[in-house]
Amino acid sequence: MPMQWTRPLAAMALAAVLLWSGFTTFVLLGDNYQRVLPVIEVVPDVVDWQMLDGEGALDEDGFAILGAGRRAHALVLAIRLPRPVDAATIERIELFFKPGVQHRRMRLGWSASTTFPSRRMEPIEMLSDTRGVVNTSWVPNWEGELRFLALELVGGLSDPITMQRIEMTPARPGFLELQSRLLGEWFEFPPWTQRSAHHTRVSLQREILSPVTAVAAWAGLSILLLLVVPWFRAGFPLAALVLVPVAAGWLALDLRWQADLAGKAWRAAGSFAGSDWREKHESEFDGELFRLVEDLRDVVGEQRPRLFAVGYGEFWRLRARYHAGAWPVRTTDRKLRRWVSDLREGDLLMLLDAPGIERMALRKPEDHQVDTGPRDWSMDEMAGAHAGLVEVDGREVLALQPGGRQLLRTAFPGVPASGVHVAKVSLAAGPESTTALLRLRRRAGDEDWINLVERSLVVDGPEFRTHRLAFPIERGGMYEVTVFGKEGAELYAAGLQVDSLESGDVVYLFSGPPAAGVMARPILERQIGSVYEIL
Amino acid sequence: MVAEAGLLAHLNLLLLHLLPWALGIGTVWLLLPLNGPGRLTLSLGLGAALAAALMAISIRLADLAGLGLGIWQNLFVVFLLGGAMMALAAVVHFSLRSETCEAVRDERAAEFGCWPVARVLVWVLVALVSVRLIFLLPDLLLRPVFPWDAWKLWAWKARVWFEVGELVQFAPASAWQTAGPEEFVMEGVDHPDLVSLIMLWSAIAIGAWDDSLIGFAWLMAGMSAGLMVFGLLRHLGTPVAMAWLGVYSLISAPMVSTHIALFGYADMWVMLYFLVFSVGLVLWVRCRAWWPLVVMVLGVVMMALAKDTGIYWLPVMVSAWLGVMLSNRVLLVLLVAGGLLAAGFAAVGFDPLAWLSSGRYGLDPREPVAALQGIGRHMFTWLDWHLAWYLLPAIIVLALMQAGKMPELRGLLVLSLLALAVALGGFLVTRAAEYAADGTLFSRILLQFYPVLVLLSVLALWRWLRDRFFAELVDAHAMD
Repeated sequence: MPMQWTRPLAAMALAAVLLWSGFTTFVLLGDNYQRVLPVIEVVPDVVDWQMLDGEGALDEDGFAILGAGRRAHALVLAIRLPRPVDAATIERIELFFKPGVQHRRMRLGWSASTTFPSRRMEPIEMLSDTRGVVNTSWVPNWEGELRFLALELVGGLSDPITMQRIEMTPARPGFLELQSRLLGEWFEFPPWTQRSAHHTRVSLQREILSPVTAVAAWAGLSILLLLVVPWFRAGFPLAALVLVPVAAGWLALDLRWQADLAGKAWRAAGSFAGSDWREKHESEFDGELFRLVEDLRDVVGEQRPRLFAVGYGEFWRLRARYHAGAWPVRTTDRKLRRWVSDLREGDLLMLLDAPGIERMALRKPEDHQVDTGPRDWSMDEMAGAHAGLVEVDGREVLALQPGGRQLLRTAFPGVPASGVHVAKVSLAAGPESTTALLRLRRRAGDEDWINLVERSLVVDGPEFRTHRLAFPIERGGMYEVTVFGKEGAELYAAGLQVDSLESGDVVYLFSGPPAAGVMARPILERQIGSVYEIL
Repeated sequence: MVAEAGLLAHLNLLLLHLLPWALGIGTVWLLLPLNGPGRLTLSLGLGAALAAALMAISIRLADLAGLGLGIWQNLFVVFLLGGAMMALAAVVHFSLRSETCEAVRDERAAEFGCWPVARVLVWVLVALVSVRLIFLLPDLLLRPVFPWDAWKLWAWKARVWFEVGELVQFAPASAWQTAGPEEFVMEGVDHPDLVSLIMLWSAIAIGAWDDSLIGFAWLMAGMSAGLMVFGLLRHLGTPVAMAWLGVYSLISAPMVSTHIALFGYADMWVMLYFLVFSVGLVLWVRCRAWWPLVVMVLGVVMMALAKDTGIYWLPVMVSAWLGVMLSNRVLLVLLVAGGLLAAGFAAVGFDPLAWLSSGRYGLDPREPVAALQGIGRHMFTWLDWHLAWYLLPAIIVLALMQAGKMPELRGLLVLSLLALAVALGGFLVTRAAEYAADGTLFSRILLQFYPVLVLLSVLALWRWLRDRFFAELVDAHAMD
């Protein structure tokens, strides 16, 4: 190397040393490490947050632990960390909740195992109505690489509680540990994420020191030294002295990016080379969902009924739609009770991470009970508050009177047999099609009526067509069928029949009484989600 | 058999991209009366940009004509359309005989090109660019379409069209409860179809739905941008090494690499057609003929067809075009007048942004501090752009120093400053601030005009080096 180059290089080396020593000193002085070292934030995730004991699900506020009644001994929420964390680097763990948890007895668990078979526990100190903390410096056996955290609620739970996030505050680093982390960040090459098209970051977590900022500071200080101290210039033209640190900095960042890309390319080749299109999707991050959709194709064959993918996580329900391709999938995160009446017989319901949708398996009719067969009602018995009798094609039918909506209403006791039944109502419209609402309600003893099931119907033309709606019957209750029309619309009812349904496995899906639910038959069940055929 | 079928699919994919490209190159070659260095690469780059438009329009025409979707239908229409375009270009070429637009001849550039260090620099840059492109291929050609909006909107739409066999309409998401079994509902039905049509073109070429092979056109878009940057810089008299520096500066930006490897977003196409407009603008400044205007219009129209927000750049482009025609004094007067007009709008409560964006974005500075922090992260902390934004102030100073001597540089400067001002202003004073704050959009907007900044940077740097640095070295060299 020619002698004169050493002076500008010395300036650049000096700039690097000054910046490195300055930054290290700053971090290690006082409590500055708390400002520089990033807090590890763990937010609710549909895959990583799972209830081990009890029930819970993601909702818009966080992860809701729904509980299993007051008698439950303990509820346990297991949280897989996005990546392993060295316990020694964490000095405090804070847990954030929706208000209402101050007097709960809760414990924080942790595990270094990949399968979460056992864990250690420490009581959580509640600092306020929304925040609990565990200072790990006091905790025995706080060691190893943490892979899981857990939240344990001692005793049952009458009201749900919602955890919003966890923050893991880093401990004061030693000199070598800080250097190790700085160096580690420079060589950390995370895989692509769904956010990669928006920005490129050093790591999945916030970094200690951005390489771009560090290199810019180094190039800037190098240029400053070269400009201010004549000895460093060694007679070189100013342009060269300015350009060399800039080019070196750019190149350093680009070589790092190239190494990152090489790792990504290697991973892509390793994961996908030699695989056909299906194998690639099966080995993707959502391979389980892909298989669920593919299996569903096999189950339904050539038919393509309306398929609703329901889940809190937009990502999962939209991925289900994408995997279904030319099968028109509709997606929603709305509560089932808000739209259950729009479901039609034969529709398919794919429940992914669907919080609040409960599933009640129905008993099959008991053998000793005698099924007396279908039951019919006379026109008078089933006439609603706004119905009148008219003659159509030589037979008497109910017609909706102007100024009212209730065409049909009749009640009957929950006999002869408990189990799944189906209400069949024969409806017709005038020359123009109209809509109607068919509803089944139940009342037990002196309690209020509860909507069991309801369905919006499109009544098309003057021909009578039978519309069906399945519902569950329990012995001992009173049941009521009603049909509502649109005020002012022409709507006729020719008959109502309730019959038992030879159903096999049927479940009642609902999102909490008193709202209506829907009867459905499970046709596919996987860990990622289940598919039901609407009855 | 499977391997043969795979090979055939890849060959078809390559062929069905090369044929429209050839038609595009031929059209551009005939239409643009350029001469000297840069003509070939500019024609290759502009030809690729034209080819993408040709592919998308051909599918749409085949569907409208009831021909259906298939390789032969596509080839038939693309040859018909491309052939007509070439014929028209030939008629124009031979009948109008426009005055040839000569490339800038610069002796210092030629001299610099002969230096060993310049040759080494070229080889180093070629190697860096080649390595970058090679390492993008596994993700581009093996990984199923990955980024969120890519599979959520564009790839899904392309897949539906491919599997249904026609360009069916999509109902808005609000119809999700009521739509019939055969109807498709989706969010963002207002998005133009260009991106999905380009993906569909690949799927048709392959003959089966394989979403790991539908992103080939994104590589073509990246290469097209690189060719245009190289060609325009050469046309403006920069030496080969500096033109390669431009290509490297473009391809080395992590956001550019990412949008090629993780194909599927529309921003790459807006970037490409923004660059097409910029090439047209610079050529118009240089030659003041009708044909650069055609290039500019192509860029503007295709930006609008690539993304719903692509048309938002129209005021920037029109202003830049007017700006290059006016003197600095008139520009300053217009700037003051514009400021007064904005104040007047504010006084009477009229929101021009809401009017221009049909109510989508209005003046609504709800979180400017958070937006500013987000913008800062994108530009100065995250790895999106290496050191580009740290260097930009110096580049602008250099460009301001040189702009008086080179109108083309002034044109690029006006366009860059306007685009930058609109991007920053748009994110600070509208609800787009939330996208800057959560890190989901700002860098994608910067991507759309980043090649213009590359052109500006390399040109300004070259002019500065040429006048202040190489002049001394060349003189010293001559004395030796």
